[in-house]
Amino acid sequence: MIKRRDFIKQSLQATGALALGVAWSSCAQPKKISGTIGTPNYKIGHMLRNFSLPQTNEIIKTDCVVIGGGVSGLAASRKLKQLNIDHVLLELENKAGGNAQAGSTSVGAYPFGAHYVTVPTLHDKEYLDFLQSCKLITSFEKGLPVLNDYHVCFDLKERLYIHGQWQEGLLPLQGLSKQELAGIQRFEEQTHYYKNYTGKDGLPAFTLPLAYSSRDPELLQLDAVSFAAWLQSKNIHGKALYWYLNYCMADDYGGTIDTVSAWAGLHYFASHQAKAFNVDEDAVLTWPEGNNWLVQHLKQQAGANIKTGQLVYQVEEKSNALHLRVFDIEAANWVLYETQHIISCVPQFVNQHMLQGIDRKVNTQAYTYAPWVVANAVVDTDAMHGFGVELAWDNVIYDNDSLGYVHAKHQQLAQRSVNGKSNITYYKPLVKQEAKAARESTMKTTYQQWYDTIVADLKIPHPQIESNLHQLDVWLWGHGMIRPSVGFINRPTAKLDKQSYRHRIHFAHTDLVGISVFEEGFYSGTQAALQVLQA
Amino acid sequence: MPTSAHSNQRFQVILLLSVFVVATCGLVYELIAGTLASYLLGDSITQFSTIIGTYLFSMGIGSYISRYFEHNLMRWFIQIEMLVGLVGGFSSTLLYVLFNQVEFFRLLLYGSVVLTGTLVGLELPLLMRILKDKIEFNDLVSKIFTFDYIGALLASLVFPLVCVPYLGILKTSFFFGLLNVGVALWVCLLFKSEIPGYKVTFTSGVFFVILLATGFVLSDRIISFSESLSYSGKIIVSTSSPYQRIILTKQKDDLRLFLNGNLQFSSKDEYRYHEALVHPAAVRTKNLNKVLVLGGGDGLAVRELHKYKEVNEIVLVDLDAAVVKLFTTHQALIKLNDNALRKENVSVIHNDAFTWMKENKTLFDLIIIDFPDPSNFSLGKLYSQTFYREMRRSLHPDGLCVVQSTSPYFARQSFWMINQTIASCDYNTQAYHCYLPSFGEWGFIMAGASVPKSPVRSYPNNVKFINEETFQQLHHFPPDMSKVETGVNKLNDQLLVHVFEKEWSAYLHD
Repeated sequence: MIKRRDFIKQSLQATGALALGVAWSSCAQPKKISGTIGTPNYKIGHMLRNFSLPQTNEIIKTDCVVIGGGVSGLAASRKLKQLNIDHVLLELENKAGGNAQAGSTSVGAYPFGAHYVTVPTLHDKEYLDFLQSCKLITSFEKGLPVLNDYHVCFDLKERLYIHGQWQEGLLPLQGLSKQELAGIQRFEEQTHYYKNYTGKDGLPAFTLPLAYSSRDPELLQLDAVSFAAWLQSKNIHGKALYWYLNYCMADDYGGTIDTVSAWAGLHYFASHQAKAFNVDEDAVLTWPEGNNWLVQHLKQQAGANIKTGQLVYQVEEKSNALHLRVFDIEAANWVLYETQHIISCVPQFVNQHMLQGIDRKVNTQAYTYAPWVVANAVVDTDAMHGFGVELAWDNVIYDNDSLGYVHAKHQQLAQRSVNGKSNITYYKPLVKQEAKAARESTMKTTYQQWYDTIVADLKIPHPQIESNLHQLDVWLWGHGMIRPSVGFINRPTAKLDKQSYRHRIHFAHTDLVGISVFEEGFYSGTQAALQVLQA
Repeated sequence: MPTSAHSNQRFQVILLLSVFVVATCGLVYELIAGTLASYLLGDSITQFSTIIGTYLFSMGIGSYISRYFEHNLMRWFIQIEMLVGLVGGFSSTLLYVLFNQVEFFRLLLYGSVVLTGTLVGLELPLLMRILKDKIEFNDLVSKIFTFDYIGALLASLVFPLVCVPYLGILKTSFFFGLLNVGVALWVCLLFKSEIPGYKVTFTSGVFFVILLATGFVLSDRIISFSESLSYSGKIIVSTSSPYQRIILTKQKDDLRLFLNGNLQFSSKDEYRYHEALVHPAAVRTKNLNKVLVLGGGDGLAVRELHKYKEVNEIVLVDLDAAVVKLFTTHQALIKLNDNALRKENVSVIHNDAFTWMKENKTLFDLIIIDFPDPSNFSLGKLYSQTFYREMRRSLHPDGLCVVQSTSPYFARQSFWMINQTIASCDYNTQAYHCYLPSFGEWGFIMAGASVPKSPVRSYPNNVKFINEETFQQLHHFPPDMSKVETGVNKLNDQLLVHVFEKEWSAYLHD
């Protein structure tokens, strides 16, 4: 007779034998994947904190120095050029572009950050001019811009992996209870209401640039509560809807409905009311290299004044000029810039160190920046279709911490070939942890660990992804973008933070506004350049 | 018979392990049948319910029959287990291959389920009888059923999580067939002294293993073989390009070309299609000098163009060099297209039509578009407003173009949407259709700055179908195909692909 212990032992042997057999047959040899891990030049950036006072070998005089070559800085430089103001742009990285960086593989270009802009509003004439100059707006019909068909995201724009297959669109709709559908309907009614709402000052409730949004106190109150609290107060519930809203908050703000303010949350949905003649309100403009396409045009229009690899170590105010002590990383050489104006287009935590000698009080503690992980994979295109609707531009996985991936070659006109390869860019904002802790753990994580995390996420819709993966490059953004946390956009010091210092140092950056999108950067940079002219 | 406690225990372990394997494999075969039935026949709820029901009932039959087995129980047990492996292992492949070939597929499906179920049903009672003298009854029942149910649990987890994603259905059934026969062989080897005619049983088991292993290795080829069975004629060319699978079949003197399984033409009636595509526009084109053909690497539209002396230059843009190569080298096809692509005034360009059109600076008097139907977003771009705008730049102000526009009967909305999309780009259009025996009703859109009412030259003599009188009738659309208002197809909002998919699937799923 068999004893209990033997019985268990036998069962284990029996199951083990079968499991082993199955495992053996399904276990392929792991393939070696090449890839790199990169970050912005934070090591040199950190020199700002602990350098000894420099020796200066060379002196350069100019009317204005733009510090920072992100979108704000490039827009400022573009405008200064138009205004014929002699200036230099100093960028720390070896490439300008800020969040709109791009990389390239054997397959082509791909974005390492921002990768689309929405339909332009008619508020910012400068921005419309810019879009026209790069032929994104081809003409105006009946007062509305006609957008260039080749750059408006082609169909299929978005798909969601849910219930084992890909559905069209990102909001889950199948298998929802009546209550959940009612929640979605209430939410849509609210966003519809705010899309068409005008504040007491006659301005639209939510629009881009934020400067054109209403300052009606009743609306601004929405900034004092979290988006989640607001949803509760409107009796809007439902797991699928909450997942979707959290996805949107992570996508645009690197936050969650609990951390982001209701004002910011509603802005995401209600600001898409801009009309174009030939496309829908929710259309987007996109390029294989993402917003780096726009950056290249900005750079071209900004002219030859851009210097990269420049660490601005210190700014001093002298009686007749501003002095910048700058370390040229490539030449390992200290340079002194003497200028009348500075447009500082860097995040405020950088200003804090750089402008130590300047009497400017900004509470940088109020500024939160979400860390991001972006990875680009070279894959076999056909392997990315899966069950359900075909490969889209934006491919999102339901109930997953990542934001899914964007197909860089989506805007290609040519028919796909069967054995073709593509770049897919994976995004993951670290929204769950407190930003600083997340940043620190992010920087410690090894390439192999990122590889495992990313592949595990991609395996959900594509179980065989590893055998179709040829390269995986990882990019870490310690301070990915400003997060419009509760109370941030309408903080009491918002106006003060943006204010120029004695009409000589001007500030432009999306973190001052609270929403990190191209239009804001463009607007703030352009405005700062105009301030130089007025000063 | 071994009597020591140790060997008795080993005896039990082995037999219980086989219960476990039998149970796992049994459930896997059931799941395979259910999955395959849902996949091939649709309606998964009905398929799974009826398959599970039939399977369980057949196990009952097996249990009942088991009473008639009286001698050599061990041999029977082993032989049945081998048979389960063989039947289960091959059933899915057989069903898959025969799905398109037989009228009585359901009979075959349920027949294989009944057979597998009966054989599996036989095994437990036989085993209980083998073990009844060796294990106390309480203990025996408890063990056998425990292993049976654990096996079932394992099967139900391994099947969806490991087997289907990594092995696929066919390989999975071969794999479990191998497992079945393997265990039977092992038991056979260990108890050879108890099995009369052990050698025959063992040899047949080895033979089964070879068969199943061959099936496992060749299962991918079996799939492609079964695909080839769905073509009615004999396959005379089968090749793959980076863009599509190209199959040419021949039945008597009918040649048929299939791209990715979709019929492109039948040599019996293709003249109707190509004459209707080319001539009504050609006879209306003011200066028929330069002609552009997009798609149409088969050279059949070009053959029709050679019937006009005025045509000086024909440019053919086709993405797929493999198609063009086939139609410039294969004897029967050269005969069909009258060696049209090798004529002096024809230049062939292998490029994507959209990309090429966007860059093109030459004006054409006539543009003939013969693209595949807009069945996905990639092809749908070639039917977009943007594409027709680009085409406008390549079209002489007096020129005409004609677009193959799917079936106005099967895909009425799609057909009229193509018309509306072209019209939205500042063209005048003329829709028409003709009947093709091998396709059904097929539609075309002729377009230009203006479409002349009557021909400016006469139709060629050597045409079999089209003339002006016929053409005038082809304008008329009966009520079931008549014009409907649709939206337009844009790159960023491909209404056409959505509508097309909906319309055709309504026919294909009937």
